[in-house]
Amino acid sequence: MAAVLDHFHLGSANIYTSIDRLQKELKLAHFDGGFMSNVVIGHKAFPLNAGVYIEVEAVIDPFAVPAGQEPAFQKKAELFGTEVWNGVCLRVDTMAEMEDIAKRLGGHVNPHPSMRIRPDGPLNKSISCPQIPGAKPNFELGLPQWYCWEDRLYRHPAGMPTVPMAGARKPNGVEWVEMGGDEDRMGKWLGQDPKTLGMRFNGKKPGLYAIGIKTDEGVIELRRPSVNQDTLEG
Amino acid sequence: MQIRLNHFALGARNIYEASARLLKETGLGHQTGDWIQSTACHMVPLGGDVFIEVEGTIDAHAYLKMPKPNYTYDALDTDNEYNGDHFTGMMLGVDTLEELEEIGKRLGGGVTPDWPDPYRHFQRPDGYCRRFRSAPYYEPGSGKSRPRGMPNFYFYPDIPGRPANQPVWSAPHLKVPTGVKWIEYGGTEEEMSKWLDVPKASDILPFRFNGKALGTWAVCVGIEGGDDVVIRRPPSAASIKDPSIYRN
Amino acid sequence: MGLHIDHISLASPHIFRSADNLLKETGLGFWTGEWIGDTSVVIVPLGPPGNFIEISGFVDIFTLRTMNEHKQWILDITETGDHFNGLCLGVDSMEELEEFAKHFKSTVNRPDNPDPARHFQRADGYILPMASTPSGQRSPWMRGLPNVYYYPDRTHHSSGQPSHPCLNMVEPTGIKWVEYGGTEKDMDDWLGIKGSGDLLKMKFNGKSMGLWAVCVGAYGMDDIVIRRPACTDAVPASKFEI
Repeated sequence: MAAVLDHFHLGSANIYTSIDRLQKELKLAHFDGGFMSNVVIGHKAFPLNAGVYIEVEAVIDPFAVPAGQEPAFQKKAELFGTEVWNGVCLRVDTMAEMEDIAKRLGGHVNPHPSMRIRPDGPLNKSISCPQIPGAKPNFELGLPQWYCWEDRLYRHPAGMPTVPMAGARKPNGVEWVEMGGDEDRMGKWLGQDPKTLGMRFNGKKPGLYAIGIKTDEGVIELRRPSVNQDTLEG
Repeated sequence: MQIRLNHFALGARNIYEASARLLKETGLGHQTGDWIQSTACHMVPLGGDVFIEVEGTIDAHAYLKMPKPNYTYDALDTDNEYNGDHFTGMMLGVDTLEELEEIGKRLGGGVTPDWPDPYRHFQRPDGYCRRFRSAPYYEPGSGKSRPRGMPNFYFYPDIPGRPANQPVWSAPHLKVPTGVKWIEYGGTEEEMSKWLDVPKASDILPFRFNGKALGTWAVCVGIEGGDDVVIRRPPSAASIKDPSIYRN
Repeated sequence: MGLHIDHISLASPHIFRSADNLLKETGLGFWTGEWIGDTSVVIVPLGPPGNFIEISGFVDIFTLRTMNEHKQWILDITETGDHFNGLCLGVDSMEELEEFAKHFKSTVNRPDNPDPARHFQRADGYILPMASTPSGQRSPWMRGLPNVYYYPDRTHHSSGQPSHPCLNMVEPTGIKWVEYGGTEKDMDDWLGIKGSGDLLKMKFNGKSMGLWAVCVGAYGMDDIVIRRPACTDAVPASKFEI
C-alpha cells in the first residue's frame, strides 16, 4: 500500500510564542499534545483533518540538554528567529509494511517507539522507520520517514479537539508539499511517485520548505526555513 | 441594590440542532453537558457575565408523565422559522442572598430553598454542582405564581463556576462576544419598571419595549472586531393561544 | 484488526443521568455533544484499541409527535431504565463490510451520504462518516443481534476523543470480555463465521439475545464489570422476527 501524509514537524525555540504566532498567521486552532517521554520536548499540534497534522516541538527543559547537544531544530530556530521545518512524516497501516520499507532502504524499524504523554494522561505511541546504520538522520538528509500507529489511529492528533479560537478556518488536509532536493532521488527513497504525496521540488537544499493547507477559505501556505539551511538565504 | 442581566432561557425542541444552528447564524459557541432533572442545557456565553441557556426536555418518559397541557411544550410545538425555538425566560441577577430575599418578599413570596439534594441544581460532567437560589418563590399550593413573561431573579454563590465564564467547544469561525447591548422585550416600560421596583427599567438595563406579548423578542450581542449579532426568537407567550388553560 | 468489537449502545431514558450514574459506579469518564437527528449520545471511552459505550436517548421529545416502530421500541426498552440495546462490531475496510452485507443479504449504509442529518455530528461541527450493515428499516438490534461498522477515517473515532474532566475518573485499558445472550452457534450463524466466542471475547449465557455485561480493564485498579439487562429482556426479540 502506498504511504500517505501523516504529519509535518516544526521545530521551535519557544513553543508558546510559536503557537501564538502560527495560530494568528494560519487562523487554525491547535491543542496541547503534552510532552515526549524523555521529558525534554514539549508538543503542540494543529489538526488538519484528513489524517494529517502539524506538530510543533520545542525543548521545555533546557537543563536536561547538555550544552552543545541541543536538537538541530532548536539551534536553527534560535539562529533564524523563527520556527523551522524539520521534516515530513508519512504513514503506513501495518508493521509488515514498515519492515519492508526499512529493509528496502538498508535499515530497520526504530526499536524505540515515540511515546508522548498527553495532558489528560494517556500515552500516545507511534513507531518510525528507517534507522539506517552509519547514515545521517533522515531529516538531516531532507528525507521523509514513516510512522505506523498500529491500532491507535483512534487517538491520532489529526482528529483531536482544539482550544477554541475566534475566527478559525476549517482545515481539510494538505494540497501540496514543497521539498528541496531531487525528485528522482525522492522517488527512489519513497518507493512511490512523490506526486502521490503532493510533493513539488524547488531545487534548494534537501528538506521541507512549505506546505499548502486546504481550508474552507482556500489553500493557505505555511512557509518556514528548512532545518537544513545554513542561513536564511539557503 | 444592583440588578444585572444573568441569562436568557432559549427553549428548543432539540438543543443540539438549535445550538448548531445558532452557531452558524451568529458564530457564538456553546458548552455541552449541563443538566438539571429532566432538562439539559447547552450554554452560550454572551460576554460580560451573561449567557443563553439553550434548554430542552431530554427525558421522554418524564415528558409523557407531565401534566398537560404544558405551557412551554405547547409554545415550542408552534412552528416558526427557527424550528420552534422560543425565548422561554429572562433571568436577572443580584449579588447577595439578602438582596434576593428582599425581592422575593416584595413580590409576595420568598427565595427557593437551598435544596440539599445536589440533583435539584445544575450538574456538569466534571462533577461541579452549580447551586443557585431564585426569587420570587411561592410555596406549592399557595395559589400564587410569577406572572408569565416577567423575569425572575437569581443569585449564584460561585461566580467562576457560572456558564458565562466557562470555555466553549472549539468550532470553525467562532466569534468572541463582548456582552449584551440591548434587549427587545414585550410589554411596556411601565410594566417592567413596576416589576423591578425602579423609576425607569431602561435606565438600569438596556430594554427596548415593543408592546407585544411579554417576554424576550431579541437580544443584541456585541462581537469583538465585528458587527453586532441580533438573536431574534419569539417569546413563549407569543405562541400561546389561550393562557388561561395552563395551571402554572 | 479483523472483525472486532467497535462499540456498545446503552439505551437510556436520560443520557446525562445515566452517564452520571455510570461515572459514580465505575469511574469511567465521558464526553458530550454528539447527536444524530432526535437522538444524542454521551460517549464513554473504554480504552485501546478504540472502543466506547454510547449512552443514547431521545433529546428531542417532539419527535414523539410522529411515532414509528423504532421510537416505540426505544421508549419501551427505556421505561424501566438503562438497557444494552446494541453491540456494534467493526471491520477495517469497505471490502470487508460489503462481504458482511452480502452475507446479511442486505446493503451498506454508505459513509458519504451528502445529507448531514444522516450522520453523527459533534459540537465542534465535525460530521462523522461511518458505514454500516445491514441496512433497512428494522435494525437487527431489535432482535438482540449485532451489526457491523467501518470508519473511513479512524482518526476521529469517538473512542479517542478526550473525556470531560470527570470527578474521580479512572483510565480504562480496554474491553476484556462481553457477556452475550444465546449461544456461540447463534452468533456464528448470524455472522457467518466460526468461533465468535474467542474472536470477539464473548461469553454466552443462554439468556435472550443481546448484550448483558461488559468487562473493562482500568489502570491500577480492579476490572470494571458493567451489567445492564439486554433490550430483549424488556421487549422480546420475537416481536420483531423477520
